[in-house]
Amino acid sequence: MIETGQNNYIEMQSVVKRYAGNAVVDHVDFFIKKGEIHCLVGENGAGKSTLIKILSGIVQPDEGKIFIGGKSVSISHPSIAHRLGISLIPQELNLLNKLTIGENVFLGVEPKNSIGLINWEEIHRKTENQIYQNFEVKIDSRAMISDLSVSYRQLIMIARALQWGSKALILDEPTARLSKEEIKRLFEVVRNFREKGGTVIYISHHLEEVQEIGDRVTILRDGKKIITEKITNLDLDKIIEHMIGKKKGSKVSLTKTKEHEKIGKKKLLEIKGLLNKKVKNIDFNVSEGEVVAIAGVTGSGRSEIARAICGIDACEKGEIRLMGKKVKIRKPADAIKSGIIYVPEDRKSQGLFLKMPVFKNILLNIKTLENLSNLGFYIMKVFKSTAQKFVELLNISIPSLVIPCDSLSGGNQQKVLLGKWLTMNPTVIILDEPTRGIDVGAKFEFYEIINKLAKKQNKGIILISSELPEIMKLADKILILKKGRIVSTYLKKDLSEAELLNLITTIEVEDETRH
Amino acid sequence: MKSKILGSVKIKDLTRKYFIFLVLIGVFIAGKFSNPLFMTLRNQRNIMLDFSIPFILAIGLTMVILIGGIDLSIGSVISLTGVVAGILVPKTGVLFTIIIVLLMGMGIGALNGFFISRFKILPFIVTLSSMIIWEGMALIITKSMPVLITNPSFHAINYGSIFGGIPLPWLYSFSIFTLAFIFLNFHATGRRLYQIGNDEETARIAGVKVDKTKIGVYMLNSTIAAFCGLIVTARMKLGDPSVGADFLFDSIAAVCLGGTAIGGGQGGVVGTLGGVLLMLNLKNILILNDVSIYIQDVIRGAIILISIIILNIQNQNILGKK
Amino acid sequence: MKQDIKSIFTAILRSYYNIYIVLFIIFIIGLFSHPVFGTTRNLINIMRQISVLLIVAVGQNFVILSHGIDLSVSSIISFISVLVVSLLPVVGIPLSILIGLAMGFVIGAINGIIVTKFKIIPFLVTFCALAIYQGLALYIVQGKMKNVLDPNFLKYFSSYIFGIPIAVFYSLVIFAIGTLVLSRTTFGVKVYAVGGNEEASRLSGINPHLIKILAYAISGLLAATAAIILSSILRIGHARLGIGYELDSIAAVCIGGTLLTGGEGSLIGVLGGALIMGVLKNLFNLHGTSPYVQQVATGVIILVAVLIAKKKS
Repeated sequence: MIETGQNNYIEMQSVVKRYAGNAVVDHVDFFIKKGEIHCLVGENGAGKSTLIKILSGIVQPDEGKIFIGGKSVSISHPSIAHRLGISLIPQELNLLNKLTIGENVFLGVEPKNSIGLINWEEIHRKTENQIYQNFEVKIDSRAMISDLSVSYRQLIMIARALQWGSKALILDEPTARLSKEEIKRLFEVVRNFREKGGTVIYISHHLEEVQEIGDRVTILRDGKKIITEKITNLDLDKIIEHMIGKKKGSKVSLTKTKEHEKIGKKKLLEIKGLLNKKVKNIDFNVSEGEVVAIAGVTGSGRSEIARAICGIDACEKGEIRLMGKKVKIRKPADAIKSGIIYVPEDRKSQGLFLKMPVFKNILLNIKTLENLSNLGFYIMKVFKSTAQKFVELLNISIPSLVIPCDSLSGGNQQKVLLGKWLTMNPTVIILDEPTRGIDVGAKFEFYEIINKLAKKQNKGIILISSELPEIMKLADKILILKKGRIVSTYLKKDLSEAELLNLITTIEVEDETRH
Repeated sequence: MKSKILGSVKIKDLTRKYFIFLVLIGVFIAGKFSNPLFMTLRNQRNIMLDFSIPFILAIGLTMVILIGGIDLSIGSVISLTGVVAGILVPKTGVLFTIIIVLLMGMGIGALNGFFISRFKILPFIVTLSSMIIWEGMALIITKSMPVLITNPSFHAINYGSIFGGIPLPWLYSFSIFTLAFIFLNFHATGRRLYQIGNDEETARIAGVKVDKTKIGVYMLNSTIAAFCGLIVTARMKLGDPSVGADFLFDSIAAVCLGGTAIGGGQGGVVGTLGGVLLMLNLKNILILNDVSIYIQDVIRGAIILISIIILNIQNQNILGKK
Repeated sequence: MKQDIKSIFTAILRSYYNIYIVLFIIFIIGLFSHPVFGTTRNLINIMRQISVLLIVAVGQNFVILSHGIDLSVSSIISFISVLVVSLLPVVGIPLSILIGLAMGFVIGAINGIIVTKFKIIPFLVTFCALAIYQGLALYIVQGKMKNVLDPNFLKYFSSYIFGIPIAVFYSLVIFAIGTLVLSRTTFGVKVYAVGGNEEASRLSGINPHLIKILAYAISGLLAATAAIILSSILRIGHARLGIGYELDSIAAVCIGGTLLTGGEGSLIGVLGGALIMGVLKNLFNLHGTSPYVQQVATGVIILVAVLIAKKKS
């Protein structure tokens, strides 16, 4: 199965990258031929982003070799990848927003005379020509990047890569924010690039796109390469099977359910018609003891729903009822005071105060602070004993309460983050990627905790996760989210993991016409 | 597609970029109403005689701010220049003094740039310390007493004129402005300042030598400040170790008001021209109307603050739209 | 409770011992280098100087902890000094003090509002405020000094208790209150949170804007307090009274280990920083070093302190 030597333009041999002892990329062989569109596919955490970060010089591998055009290279910085002709088009576009299109496209390769004066006329003329020839789009090269829409900015990034003379483009989830038309245009651009001898590495969760645009596909799972194969030799089911590692299961007709009323179980949270710039017409309920999972690909708007409910992002319309009573949530404090809490995705930048001691982190939300203090003053003993209670409850193994949070392991940090919210006895808990970046042992501890919170303490849980096994383990109800809308709702017992993956990665035709 | 991108965006762009000139027009109108003397040729010429020093100084500062930094030490460089000139001119003559002073400026700038780019300390702190240290040096050397310079060739740096009547400082202003304009808009290295100011990491990926450019800009700025110091010293005919402090505030104000926002990546010397004109005319109006010099400071500070607030709101609107 | 206090003290001292060791060394050098240094009279002088600086530094610490900086403290001191001294003969002691403190608080709050609501960087805002309030101070007294003639005013703020200047007691009380607030109130926790990770603090339900505004207000209030005490000690209301305190307070805070990016640092360190600054300044004065050399030294000290802090983190 391993092809080396001939015809390979880019060869990553047995590449390994470890974070905190875990091999995130585990002896992966990644071979790209010149002039092909090679898709890289895998679930979240499979190692795709780390692999391409290594190739584009953002991250250094712990082991392994990289060969470009047969020569061994060490890509220690993105500028070296650039020199080698590899350009990454990341999800967060990195253009110079306050400068013109032309200046961006010719960044670093400006035509200049002997004393260094730039020929702007040439830059703008060539930019407009290049973009017209390659993308069939007429632009004014003197316009500023900040005036352009996302899809145009993406084109400019590709135009820049072309102007740099890049021979290989790495596109990371390029269609996440594009409309159907814009995706079509992107595909044409990518195909044109291939016609002219360019190589493309295309990362996407949207499997139908992968089938449409790709020549070959490499599938990763748990940091390992599973298979590299021609797209035409694999059907959708096979791809999913490789991604998950299990067979799809017997073809059972899927029962799409409407909102399933749990008779006898109280409705804790009712969301009606939530609307803002990122999510549209969100309707769903969470009952006592119920775990509702929101499933969707990157960019589908899962975290955005949570942020809208909890007042972190502004909401234009929508009604939120907690235990039957309407609540007005305009800022995070409102949600917290009502008892709805959000455990964010990025524990380091959004959740924890890394330099502060553990016990302070565990108590740092306004409700807990209020509860534990008298006229603003708190007693250290009470603080510490309360913190201790939750440290024991969550089984956080630390030598003392006063060590700063940045010295904790990922799993313990995540526990502290969860503990922070449990100390105020919330009614509804929204968990955003709660087990990302923590080891297997801690993961299972978390599943037990979440289960207990729901089944024993009757709390309502909203689970946002890209790990499908996790959803299948914990959820009672699953909402499928696409481009900011809930497109369907299923009961967990009616779905298999493969079916779930299928649902979130395929594009439904209905999408565009709904609402 | 073309019309979607072109359109009326251009006009909005221009008004935002050159907002300072609209404010300037407002100030001219206010000035005219407040005092008939304001708009006379004589008064305006007087204002322009004071123009060159703050303008040249602000041009240097513009470049540092464009790249995303700041330099609080320029006033101290002026002070130190005066002192050094006061000592060297009688001993070594004018030409040698000029060379030494400019080298000194380069050295101070190199130190600033080094600490900022190599040790990655905030420019604010580095240049704050630099400011304190060099001003202190100036005061120590002269024991805070000004040093007289009697050499008429030296005085000519400020008082000389060419083509029958055009003061040399105007020539300096014009040349430096023109060079800076060409550099920032048409020279590859000048464009690097904008590029680094927009996104340092992206510039690095594209192969731009970010650290070297930063050190270079700080060196250039301090050299320009040293040059200003020469003009100031020639003008006052003495080296005054405490003269530099006032210049800093007005320079920062002129640059920010001119549209070169702290944080970098946008703006330029044309805006700075407007900013300096604004500061000078404002000062003049207040003086003509007999406003207490203390209230002048208050008004200047308040106007600068308000203008920065307005500029910020404008910028937010642009960003908010996307 | 006692065990509590003791353990905190030792824990903090353990992490701030470097500062106090440096202080000790400088003190010993001082004793040997100048005969006057160790005299009671001189030591009392030092204590008085440090007291005023400490009060300002406590306020500056709140601001820097919340990821800001306050350059305007020197002008606030000058402004409140002339304000209070001008008001004394007109409305009496209690009212002029009340007005002075209230004005300090309000000025600080205004700084905070401009920084948070208009999103202008603290350096620029307080830089402009520095110029504005300095101008106002000069305007009120037209550049002249105003003498303090009220004996009671002098008694309340510059007399001696057990031979120690009363300013020392005021500063210790303020220091104690400041420490209490930062380490035992929810407000203190919020200040560290906002400076340490503003987004996380917002998600935790804290209102970062309010916390920052209060931090600046506290800085203004304490600057006003320093102004009143200083005016009493020197017996004048002076429009340039505060000059130098902005840099010295920043230096004291930096030496004390509070990071300029906020979120970390304690007043015990700031105390050490203020002590070092005070002792150094005194030594310089005794040796007749020009204030300009002192200025250079302050600049070098700030740079070194920041470098050391960077190496640590």
